[in-house]
Amino acid sequence: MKKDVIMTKEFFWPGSVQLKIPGNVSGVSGGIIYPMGVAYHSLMRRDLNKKYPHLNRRLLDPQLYLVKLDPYTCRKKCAQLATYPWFPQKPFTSFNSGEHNQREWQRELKNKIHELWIGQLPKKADEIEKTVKSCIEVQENLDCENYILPSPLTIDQATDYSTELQWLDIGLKVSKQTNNEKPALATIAISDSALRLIEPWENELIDLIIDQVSSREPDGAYIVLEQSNEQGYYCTHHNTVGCLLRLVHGLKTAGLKRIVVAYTGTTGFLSLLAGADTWASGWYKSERRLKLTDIEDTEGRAFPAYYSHSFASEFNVEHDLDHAYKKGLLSTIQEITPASALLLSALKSGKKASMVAEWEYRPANVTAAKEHFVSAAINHTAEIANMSKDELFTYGLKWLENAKYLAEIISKLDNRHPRTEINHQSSWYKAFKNFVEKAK
Amino acid sequence: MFRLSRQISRPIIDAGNNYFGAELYEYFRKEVVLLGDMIVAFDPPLICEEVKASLGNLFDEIALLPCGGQGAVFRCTHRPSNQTVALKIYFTNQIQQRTQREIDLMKRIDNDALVRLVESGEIFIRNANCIFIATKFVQGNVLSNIIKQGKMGFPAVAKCGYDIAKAIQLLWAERIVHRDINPKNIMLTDKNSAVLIDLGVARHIDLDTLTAPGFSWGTIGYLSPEQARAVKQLSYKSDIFSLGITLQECLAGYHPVNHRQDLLVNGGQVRTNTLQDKLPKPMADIIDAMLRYRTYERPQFNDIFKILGSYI
Repeated sequence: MKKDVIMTKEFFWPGSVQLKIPGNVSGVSGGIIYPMGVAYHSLMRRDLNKKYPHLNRRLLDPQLYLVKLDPYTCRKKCAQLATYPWFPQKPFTSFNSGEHNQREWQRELKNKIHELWIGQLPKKADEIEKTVKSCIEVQENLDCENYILPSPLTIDQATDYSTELQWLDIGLKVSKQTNNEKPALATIAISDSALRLIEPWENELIDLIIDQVSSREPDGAYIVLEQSNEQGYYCTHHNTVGCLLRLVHGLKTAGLKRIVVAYTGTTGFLSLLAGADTWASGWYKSERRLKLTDIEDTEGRAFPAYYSHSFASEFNVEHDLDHAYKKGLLSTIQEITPASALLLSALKSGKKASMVAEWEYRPANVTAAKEHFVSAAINHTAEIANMSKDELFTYGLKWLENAKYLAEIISKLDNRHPRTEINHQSSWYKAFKNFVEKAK
Repeated sequence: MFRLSRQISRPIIDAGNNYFGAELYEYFRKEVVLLGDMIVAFDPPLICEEVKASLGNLFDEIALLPCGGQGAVFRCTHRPSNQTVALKIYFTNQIQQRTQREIDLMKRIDNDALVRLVESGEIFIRNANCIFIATKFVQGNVLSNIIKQGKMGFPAVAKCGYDIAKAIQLLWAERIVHRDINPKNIMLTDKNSAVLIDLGVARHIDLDTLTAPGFSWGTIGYLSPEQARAVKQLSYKSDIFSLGITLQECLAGYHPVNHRQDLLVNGGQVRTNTLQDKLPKPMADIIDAMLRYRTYERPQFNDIFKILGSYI
């Protein structure tokens, strides 16, 4: 019996770094499990419902779009992915808790991953089917609410998309053969290299994907954006953002019931305004932006930053937030959440942000910043949950026009820290305005 | 391949200037090669004796039918199955082996809305390797001839649209896009059912070329915008567009834009409710939706069946 797909606006927590939600903030609708973030044997023995309440509703992204990771430079991630049965690799001894120490076993795998990692997806139909089956079986065993059908990464703008469609056709066939026949989401994993150079409504690849995917009538789509050309926390190029909006809108218009957007940070929230149902974003850069070439780079020391939805960005809390307060912007930029209550009250009483211990500008002091971001994501997702299409468009235009205006003011702050990003707001506004004009 | 096809098709496209409109004519002349032009007719036409000499082991009681489109067509009896078939012979040796997969798929499709492929293969005739396709013989009238007699009533149009949409759905289930839905390829049977009689097999003159930039297949006046742009991958939504034009033609009794493909590409479609009085609004709306520029704004099969089915 096929279950109904969910149709609403939701925020999911991405488990690419850790499955646990920062501070156990309540109100997260569900979670996405990423093989990159947790080893297979470790995942399978966890009581997900008990340990992570938000994972009562869960998805698992097979992440086959990561198959071309370089095992020499991405040892840790490749070793993690290699624990899943669908990643092509040479045989190695599986983890056995009776025989192995997990840490040592993982280290050994990491040390020899360059010898084991094949880095190529199968090409023959029967081999693809075998791979897809294992992806779906694991999702079924984990009782995920939808099946995310695997797909390779699309990089070339001139592709005929036939490889991705072959995977999709086989995925749909296999998902229909399962006993539960849950809704199936077609993965659309696409690099911004295929999106940046062409105006979104002129980009024939977007037309091709919308047409070919929707004609196969999956229940929904799971969109992952590889931002190979982006450096910061926010997707900046207006064509990339515009293509994402078009893709979401086109698939939804064509009749797909659920669109999930992952790995795009707050741009995922923007995609809700174009018709997406679910977005997922964490706080760390690696939870917001997928970039194959630096996937294993550590961000160095993470420092706290204050997310302001009206600014569509974050403030560095060492100086920039104080400067914004002095400019009289606090009432405009403030984001009221439990994790930021002390910070806001300190600022209002004339104290510096760094004087609040939870927000003190020092490495790894990011718990409050993460909790704050998640709360803001939940609040603003709920804010738009029941809006009509026209209301969503109006909301988006107002939100981004204001964010653009704030970015212009904040760009003039003395010694602005690069973490206070001010370039994407005007780009998002341009992309969204253009989108609304064409999509109305 | 490119040079050859341009040499053959250029005069044909040039001759069609009147139908294109200046802008699209220029586009086609420079950018798009319609592969149908690569198939040339037998000159002089094949005669029954020649077919009998080459295919007498498979077919009997061979009689010439009025030639349609690109090939010679004969009515005959298929010996192994003892059924009457329409035998079409294409004067080309360029159909590739890879089409065999699709031919095999078509042999499996068994539905009243789609003519059944009975036999296919290669024969050597007039010193050339030629392709033959034998399909079940359908008794009835070609839709283009019926339209010449005037407007069709909307229930008959709804039935025709429903049946051909079913044929398109069957093909798409095998990921086949027909690419040439038009009134000349649809037969109305004595039982008032519509049958897609051309399986479109001939379009598989080298699929590599078909999916190469600048090449397309189809009939001017019925091409979807994406087909006219010769995009590499088409979906069933392209056939749905062509069906929409065909249904408008049935309702009007003439081609809605006089075969002006440029108008169809540039959003100059005619509103369906202007073509016939007392046409039910949902039916007019669904046909309009079939003609939308963006593929994803065209209706899915279920929507088409639901609405057209309610007027049958």
